[in-house]
Amino acid sequence: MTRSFGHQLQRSILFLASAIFLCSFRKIPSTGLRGLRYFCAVPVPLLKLDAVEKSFAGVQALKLIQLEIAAGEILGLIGENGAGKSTLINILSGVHAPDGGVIAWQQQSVKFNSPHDALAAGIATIHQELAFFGHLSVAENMLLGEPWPRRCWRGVNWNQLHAEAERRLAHFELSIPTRRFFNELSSAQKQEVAIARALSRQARLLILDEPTASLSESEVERLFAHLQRLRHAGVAILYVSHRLDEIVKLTDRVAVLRDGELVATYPTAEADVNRMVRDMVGRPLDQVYPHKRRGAFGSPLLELKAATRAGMFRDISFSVRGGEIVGLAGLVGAGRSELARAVYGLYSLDSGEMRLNGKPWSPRNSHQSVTSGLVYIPEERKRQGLVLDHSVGASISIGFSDLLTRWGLVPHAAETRRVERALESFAIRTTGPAQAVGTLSGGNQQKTILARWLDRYPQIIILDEPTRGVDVGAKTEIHALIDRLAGEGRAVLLISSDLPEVLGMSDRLLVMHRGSISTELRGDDMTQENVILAASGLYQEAKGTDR
Amino acid sequence: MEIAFFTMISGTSFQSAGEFSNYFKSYFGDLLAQSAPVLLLAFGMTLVLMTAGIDLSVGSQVALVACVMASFRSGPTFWWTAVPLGLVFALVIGLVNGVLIARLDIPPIIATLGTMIFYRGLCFVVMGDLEKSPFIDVPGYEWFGKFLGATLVVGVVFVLGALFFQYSRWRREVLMLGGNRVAARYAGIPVTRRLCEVYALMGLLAFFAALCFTARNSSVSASSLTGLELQVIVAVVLGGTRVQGGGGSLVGTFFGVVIIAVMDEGLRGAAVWGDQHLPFKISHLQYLLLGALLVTGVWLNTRMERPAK
Amino acid sequence: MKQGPYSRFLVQRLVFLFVGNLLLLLAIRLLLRAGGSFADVLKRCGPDVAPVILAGLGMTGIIFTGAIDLSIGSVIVVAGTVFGILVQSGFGPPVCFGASLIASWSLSMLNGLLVRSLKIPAIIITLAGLTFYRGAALILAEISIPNFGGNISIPDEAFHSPGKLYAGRILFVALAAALLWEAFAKTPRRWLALGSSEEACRLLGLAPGRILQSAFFASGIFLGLAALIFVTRVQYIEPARLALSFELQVIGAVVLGGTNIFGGEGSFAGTALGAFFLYFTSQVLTYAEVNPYFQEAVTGAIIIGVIGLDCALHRRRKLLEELA
Repeated sequence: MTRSFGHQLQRSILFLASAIFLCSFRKIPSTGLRGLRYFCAVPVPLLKLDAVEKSFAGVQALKLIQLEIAAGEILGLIGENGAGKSTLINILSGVHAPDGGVIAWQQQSVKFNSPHDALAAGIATIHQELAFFGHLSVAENMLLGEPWPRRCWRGVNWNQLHAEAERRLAHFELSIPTRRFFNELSSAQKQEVAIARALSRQARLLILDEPTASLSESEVERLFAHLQRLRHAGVAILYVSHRLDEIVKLTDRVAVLRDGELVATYPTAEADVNRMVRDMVGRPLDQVYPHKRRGAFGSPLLELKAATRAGMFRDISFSVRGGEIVGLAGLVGAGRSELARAVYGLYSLDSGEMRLNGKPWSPRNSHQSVTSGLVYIPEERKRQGLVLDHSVGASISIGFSDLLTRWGLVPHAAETRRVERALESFAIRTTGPAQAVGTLSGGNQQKTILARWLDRYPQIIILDEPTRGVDVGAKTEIHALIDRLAGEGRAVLLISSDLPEVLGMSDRLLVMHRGSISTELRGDDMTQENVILAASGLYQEAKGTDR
Repeated sequence: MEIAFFTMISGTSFQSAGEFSNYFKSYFGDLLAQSAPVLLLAFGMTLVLMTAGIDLSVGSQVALVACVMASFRSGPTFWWTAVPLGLVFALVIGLVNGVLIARLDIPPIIATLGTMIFYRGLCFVVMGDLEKSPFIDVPGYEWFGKFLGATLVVGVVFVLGALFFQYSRWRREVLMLGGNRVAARYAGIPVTRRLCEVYALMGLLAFFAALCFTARNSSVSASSLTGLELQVIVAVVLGGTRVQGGGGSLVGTFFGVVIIAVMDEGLRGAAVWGDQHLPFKISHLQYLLLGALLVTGVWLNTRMERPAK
Repeated sequence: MKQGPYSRFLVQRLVFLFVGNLLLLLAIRLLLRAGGSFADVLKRCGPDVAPVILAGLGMTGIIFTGAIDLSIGSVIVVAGTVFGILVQSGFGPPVCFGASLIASWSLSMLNGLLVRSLKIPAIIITLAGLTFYRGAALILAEISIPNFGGNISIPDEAFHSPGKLYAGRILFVALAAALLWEAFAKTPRRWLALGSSEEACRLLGLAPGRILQSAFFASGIFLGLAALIFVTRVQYIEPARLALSFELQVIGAVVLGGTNIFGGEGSFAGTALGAFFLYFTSQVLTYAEVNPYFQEAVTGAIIIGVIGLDCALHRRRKLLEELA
């Protein structure tokens, strides 16, 4: 018996050894690590940047970056606009090549010449601007970069292709019809397809650049749950966001970029939001909004009564008085921007009535609005606001030069004077009025658009997401500016998805839900909780149960 | 250096500086009168390219206006029948382009491709196979074909136009809508009206071009001026205007036309020499040179822009 | 909800063209007086319409990618000149046919290469090609043919077989192949992808240059067939006049077929139907004994009319999409 026990021991050791040996040839899914190395993995960095630098046209965008990301880690990357986050992402995803330094990927120095190289190596990126094909189906959009299922004579097997896409979407708990054309999806659905596409790439490093911009709370929750699952499976994640609450909630470690330099990295647990903001800005910043609520306002400058446009908004009634800042909150897609554009004359109303300065208002185009003293600052400044290769001076003076013209000609001296005054009073940081506006940072671009309009002294100003993608410093300046406008007796309608901002800046808050104004909040009712309730149409219900 | 250049391309040689200066005068006078239509159209085409559009129908437009004018009776009455009606007609056909592009939102290249065929077809409707020349018997008409008249028309259009253009708000609006149509709408620019104006102006210039052309050539047929649009576009592009819209220069356009015109004249001048020495007609080189110049011009434009980005 | 590869807009356009073609055929049938046979009309349609459709199929692929080829008329001239020169030098039909095929294919490839390497919009490159190739063909003819008088005569009927006898069959096979290919191949989808967003292609790891080149490659093959039929159906090849404004007919057919001129959306079937529509319209005008001088104007008016109506109907939606 004893002999047989030793025998058995020997055999079992042999068996175990061969099992481990065999294991070492099997790829563990989702990590790509060979089995044995998976068991005895020493935490070596998956990606290591050593003294990486990059400059554009003489301007140093990244200075000697040292950064490591380990497998199974979520690293948050934060920084103001123009701090170099996009450049860093572009280098990692192979869009740009670095000027100097070493990128070590799985302990081997690599050089990505194209996004294809990076993808092949296992780095998948979700860019801020979604890159998709509108007239191709969802399935084709998801799988275009990969081999497709074929049948005889290399013909595409469409059914299998759609089944594969459905499987991948289902893996991310999504059910989007894969035969739909991509441009027929809602913006949240588009974002979700983008995420699902990148996640299904079996990447070892996943880079997400502001992925939650058009997602609702529950969709964000689902994304985060999935990211956590990936992390446990050993995927490294680089998460870039302006929303610091997300960074705190999700990440293990935070890296802060400022002016192209990596100023700090620390575990998220050791940091709070204030410290992050301090590191980003380089100075302490109080989150105090400059606006003091006033009680007395002028006469109503803009009034809407039961304004309706099919498919966009319905039965909207409100008024904005002189000197008043009215906030317009709500989820993306609730119809806020559409409402603003209708007031501005870009869309027509189906029914209802608008009044401007007490007179009936039915603008035929935006030109009429501008000349009547109503301006709208659009949400996407690059697409809707600016011609990127035009000069800063031209971009500003287009807003008011019609006031200066004599016989259609713009007097050069007067124009230059006004442009320079605007550059100064709005503190737009440029090398001069001739600089191309596309080379400015986001905040300065936004201030350029503000300067364009505000020099006309309009009576009514509609601001759509005025501080989206704008760095913290410029944000404060824009807030002070909005307050000043109201102080001068103008009416301001402020549309924003940034809750602290819209709460801190407005005298009164309208909350839109699915195309209509669900609630008006005043005074002490103006809290984040109430806005969130109202934006999902639950405010009345919740208040009803309270009583 | 320049003398050598002209000698080379014109195939003549000069005995003295005086002879050269005389030759130079007549050469350039002729050159300007010859290329007046292209100059006028290039002016309009620069604006059209600035709006990120293109007008392929210019050749047909000029021919159609000329054909319509040619169907009137000759004599002094021509001045108050054909000329004003031609002017109005030119504005209308320009405006048709504008309406198709701005109001119906047809892509400019398609719309003007269609009107190019359509206007040319109308030429045949008006003229049939005939070649008419009522212009010879109109008193004072040929003045527009001579150096002085052509210079005056071109000069007035260019100088006044350029001055107005340089300092007007209109130009900035056109530039902005060419650079970013959506942003222009948001910036309160009446996009539709501006586009219609640009194409109507093109029609107006087509009228002046028709005036200069008919005064010089004194006869017109339905197939006159085919391929003119290509010369015009090449000239504008050579002058540094980019085809994607949002930028461009009139001075550059002027020099672009001069390059094309000099090339044209040079080849014509060298015909005799070419017949003796070359196995092919030297005028056919024009096709090759035009194509090569176009590509080179655009390539240089993009090369020069790239460092700025 | 099941959705095919075509958007609702494209399906509408295909149905419109199909019904329109049937109506036009009916009109021709009714207009035929004694002496004309309907079967003859259909038979003649092969050689007449084949070059437009074949070149149109290639052009559709190029327009899918957001590029355009304005030089096809001149490419055909070069192919015809090469063909004529070889015939005059005493080569047999296979050599001459092959040479004209290869000439048009390689010029199309050259267009693609230039667009790729110089990074200039295709419309400019091929606009230059439009004049350049025609000039080159003229000079080539003058150099190689002694006492060139403006045209090359091809008297031997043996050289006319593809254009006069087999045009219908070539068209049928090529069209069937193109439609099958559209339904079951990945490459056309890549072209559409490139046409809708070059940036997205690059980020997805697809090489835009290679996709564009493949479109010019395929176009070259179709263009070669079109050139073959075009140059073998005429008795004289006149480089200065041959295939003038052919590119307009072809682009007209493509756009009429519902393909977006800026790329990203379209179909091969639409191009074929569009070409038939234009051809039948001109036939109706002929049989209705409309003054031939009106024909060009009417053709232009139809292209503008159909496309204008279509754009006007979509204008509201397009404007909203643009502003949002």
